[in-house]
Amino acid sequence: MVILYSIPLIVAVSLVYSASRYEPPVVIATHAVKTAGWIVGLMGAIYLILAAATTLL
Amino acid sequence: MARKSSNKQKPSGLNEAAEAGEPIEVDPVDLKDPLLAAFLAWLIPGAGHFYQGRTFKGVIYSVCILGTFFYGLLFLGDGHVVYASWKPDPFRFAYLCQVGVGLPALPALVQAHRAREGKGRLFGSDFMAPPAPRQDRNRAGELDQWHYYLHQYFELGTVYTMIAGLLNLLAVYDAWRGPAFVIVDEKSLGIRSARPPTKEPPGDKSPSRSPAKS
Repeated sequence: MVILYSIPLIVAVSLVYSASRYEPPVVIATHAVKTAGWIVGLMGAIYLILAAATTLL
Repeated sequence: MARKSSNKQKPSGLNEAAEAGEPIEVDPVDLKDPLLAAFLAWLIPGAGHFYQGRTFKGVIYSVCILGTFFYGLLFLGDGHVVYASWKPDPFRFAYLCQVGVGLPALPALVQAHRAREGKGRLFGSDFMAPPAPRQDRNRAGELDQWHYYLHQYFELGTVYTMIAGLLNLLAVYDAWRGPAFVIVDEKSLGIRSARPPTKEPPGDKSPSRSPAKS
């Protein structure tokens, strides 16, 4: 499952991106969780679009 | 004009300003020497923040960026995915991103220089060394062999190390200019971030818009 290799990247990108925008640790952690959710959601949406295009077209 | 203050001493008047909806620019971070911190942050991810005393962010940056870089370089790429190549092989564009991680990516420059000068590889190892050019167009070169035995992990390792280098650019900017949004005390202030300063109409010198003392 190559897709599992995205998990460490999502965690690292979320934490670093949030740390670059906020200073307090609690806010960084909270924002990192939200950012990770956005990334997963966006990747999921792109996956669904590609899967639908592959199936229907 | 935006108010500017420091978090070392909680400035008076911030609560009133927040309640009044005035633009507040808060700078609570002691960046020390920002250029030195930015250089340290590029050289070793997290080092600039440790220098500034921002230990939590230093730990986040060093663990996430160095972890991502070395996981891609050593575990996925077997030491081959980070190399500098200018000629005659194809230009290694990925290295432009990878070098953002600083010192950990610099041995590739040494290896590239030694390859260009015709010297042997550093310590006789092909670690971060550019692939040897093909001797025969009909035979697989060293880069082809790496792709053959690493399969998709060559690309995965390249992506990991590229992302690590790009993430460190965020850390460098954070060490240089501080965080994009600053929160002093969101409970007492009732704000979540500093708002951009608004243009002050000419001639408006009311006391409420004068800079707050820190």
